[in-house]
Amino acid sequence: MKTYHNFMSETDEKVKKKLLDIRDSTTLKVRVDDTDLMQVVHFKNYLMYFDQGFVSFMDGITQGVSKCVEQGIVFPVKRIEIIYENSAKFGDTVLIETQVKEIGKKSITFLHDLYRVSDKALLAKVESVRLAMNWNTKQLLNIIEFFAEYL
Amino acid sequence: MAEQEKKVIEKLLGIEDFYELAVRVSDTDLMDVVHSNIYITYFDEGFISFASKLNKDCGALHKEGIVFPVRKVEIEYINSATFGDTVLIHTRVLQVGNTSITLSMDCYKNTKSNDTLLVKGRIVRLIMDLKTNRLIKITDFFKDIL
Repeated sequence: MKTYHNFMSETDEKVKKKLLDIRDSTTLKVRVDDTDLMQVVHFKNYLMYFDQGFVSFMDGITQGVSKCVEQGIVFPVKRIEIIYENSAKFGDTVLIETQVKEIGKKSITFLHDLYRVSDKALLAKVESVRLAMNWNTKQLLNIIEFFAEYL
Repeated sequence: MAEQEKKVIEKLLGIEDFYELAVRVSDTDLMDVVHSNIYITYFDEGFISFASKLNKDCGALHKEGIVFPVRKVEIEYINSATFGDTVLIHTRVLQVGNTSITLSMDCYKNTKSNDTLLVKGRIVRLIMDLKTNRLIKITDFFKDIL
């Protein structure tokens, strides 16, 4: 019996493997307005940080997220899960490490680990599921097909 | 577990709160919808409303050094809202641990129905005394709700 895998072309497998092998890291500095009354970065802003990780990942392999958006391709978030381990403060530099965990037909799951650069303390672990969508037609794009253009 | 503790947990598990807010222009992004990160700020609003229902004034508590750090967040995005909509946050207690409380925070567009579910949220919060840097036992903190 033929399985789904038999139908997947060799190119598809190559794109998938390339995506899974990419490790992206980027850093950013905590701003005053990222912090809240507890003197630490408000938990919402970690989402902004891993958004930045996603942008850095995409900028590394594609023409860049902003160009995609100009062409009407957007990347909505379907699901997120965050575990908070430590807190960052103003003055800290945050390291965001991004990799792909899983590639579905219409969704791609990213893992982001956020560290404080000064002592390598793990700040948060994030799993996020994103889609790729043509904003004009509102159609979801096939993930492999989308990335095949660049890899 | 002491009888009183069980009663506090039982009471907490039965409490639900609805809080409605209007989407602000600055909540939306280039896709013309409320940005996915913004729901977290809505959860904050929902939590403050939930706490005030239990006679806990988060602002006054903060001045005393009592805060509610977040340990874990899970959000599933179902639909989107935009400027001009209101968001209804439905808060329920899912689980009461020793020093953590798990809340379900589902957001609806305008009114509560299956069709208008925007996000399914789940958030684990702690209660901490900044003066001692110690976590407060959940059932102790809410013992006056009986």
